Amino acid sequence: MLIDDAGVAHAEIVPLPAKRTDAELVGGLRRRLPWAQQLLFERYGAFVERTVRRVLGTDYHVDLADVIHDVFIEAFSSAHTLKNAEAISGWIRSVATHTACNTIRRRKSRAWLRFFAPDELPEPPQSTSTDAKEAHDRTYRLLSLMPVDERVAFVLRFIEGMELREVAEACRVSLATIKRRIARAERSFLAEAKSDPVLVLWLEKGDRWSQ
Amino acid sequence: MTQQLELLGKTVAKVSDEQAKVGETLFRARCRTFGTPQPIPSTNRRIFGALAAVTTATALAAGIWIHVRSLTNATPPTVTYQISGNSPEAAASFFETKHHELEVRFSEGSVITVLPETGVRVLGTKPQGANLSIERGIVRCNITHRANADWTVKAGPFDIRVTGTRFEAQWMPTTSHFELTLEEGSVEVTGPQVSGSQRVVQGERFVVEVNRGEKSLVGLGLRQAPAAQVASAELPVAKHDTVVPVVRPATTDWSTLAKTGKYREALSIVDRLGFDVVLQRSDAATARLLADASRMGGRPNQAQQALLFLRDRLHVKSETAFVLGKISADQLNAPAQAYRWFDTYLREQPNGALREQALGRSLELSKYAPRHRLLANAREYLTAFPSGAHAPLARKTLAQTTDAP
Repeated sequence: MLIDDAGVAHAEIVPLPAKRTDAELVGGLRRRLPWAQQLLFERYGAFVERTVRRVLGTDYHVDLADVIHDVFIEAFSSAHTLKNAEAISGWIRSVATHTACNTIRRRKSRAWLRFFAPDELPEPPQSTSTDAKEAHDRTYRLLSLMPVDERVAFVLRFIEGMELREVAEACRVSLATIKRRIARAERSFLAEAKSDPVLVLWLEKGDRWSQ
Repeated sequence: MTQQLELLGKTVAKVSDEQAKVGETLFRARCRTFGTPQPIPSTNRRIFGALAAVTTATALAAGIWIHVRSLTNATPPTVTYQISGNSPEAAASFFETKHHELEVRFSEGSVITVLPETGVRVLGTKPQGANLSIERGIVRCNITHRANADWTVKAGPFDIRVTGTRFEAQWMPTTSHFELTLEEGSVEVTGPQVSGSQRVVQGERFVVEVNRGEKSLVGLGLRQAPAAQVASAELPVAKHDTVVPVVRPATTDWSTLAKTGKYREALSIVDRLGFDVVLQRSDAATARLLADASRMGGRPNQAQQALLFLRDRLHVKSETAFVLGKISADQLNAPAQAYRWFDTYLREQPNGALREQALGRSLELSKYAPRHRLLANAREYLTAFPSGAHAPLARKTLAQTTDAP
């Protein structure tokens, strides 16, 4: 038994394996070990949340926690496909992007079931909303009209600010494909934005964007 | 136009980050992912939901039949429970507290106090007791001692078997921290890092850090032990009669205290909730407040941890690099590290509001700067701030550096 400076007695403290490397983490995930699954959530939870939130945008009717849960379940079950431990962040981002895309597709495919789709209505304008908030909401509203593949490519490139190679990896397509997809998305977005009274101001007055 | 789109994207991203409740969302996602032994993907949830409904109905019918039979056999009634104060949590078997405590009173006299920021589920009740699950946070249990009492308290992956006792159990899923303090009686614990079962008796605290792979059993309030006792590892800790009362987490919100400049009081509440837990559940604004409170409250290491969380997990850069530099230089006595952070700030925020200070502080740390960066910083400082506080130092640096071979 150990006694510390304050006179408090401590029983033995048993050191066990401490910090895990990505390689150990991937090894644990492949063997479906609980500690590895928890550690994956610990390390990449916020990263996944952010990726999913970016892709889904103002789709308030989706529970983000549900989608994140799905991402990790998918990640746990597909961990055996991850060959290189260094690629873990790209892999989890790809799983997150793919899951978020599927969420959007599922919602769209079920839209015909509704006679009246209140969740497709734009959110009521808030008196306190700033220019930036307005731009945010209107941007995602325009994006919701675009095909899912183009929407996701646009979001990852222009909102998340990812490099083309990273976007291609996240969308699981080639670099050439993602370039074409982003170009198409950009054209569609600009064409629609020109008829939006708020976004058109942001497009014309580039200086406002530096706020 | 592409450049303008990128700028619009940055604005949209900023609004998105400001609106996000990252900590709360992740907490719920974590509970869903690890709260049940077999997580079910949402695509299958409806099917499983229907199956579950049928199963529940069958189980309910069976339960009623068993209950009627139990009444006819005159066996003791199953314990029931009620929530104090008609709180909204009373509607379900899952109780979640934010900034308040609540009490769950059982019909056989036991009382469970659910402390702030805690989630508890009643898994089931029986004549001899109940099964509880602490999904996160701290619970104080006062279990009435009866001859046939049989209670099980799950705390994450740990099981605590109880007959009659008073204890406080804590499970923090984000950090995988388990803590059990016995105020009275004894319990048996099973779970990770525990071979077989661990007996914990009155006056002991058993702590397991699952992620770090550490465990400890501490005798509370023990005075200086005689040498003979120190040498004997087998001496039962339960003999010590002085028990330090377990401190309840205060119900005051730490962020309110931090915002009013009461950093130490705020940090003491954060300590009780668990610094890591609070940090993991923080959004950008809360993490920043926690970093500020830690820095001003004299805890540079925790401030550094919160700032790194902001940068690495929430991907918020802004002036975090500058503050990290300041902490390294002023509080951690790590000048080389400080230089790297100031330099990082200058690269990340070339026109940032703290540019003058960052350049000046970099010049002060010239010993740790590569020569070309030192010259560039000195020139940049003099061009942008010819009358600045560090202008003489910049001139001196230029003179010395250009004279040097």
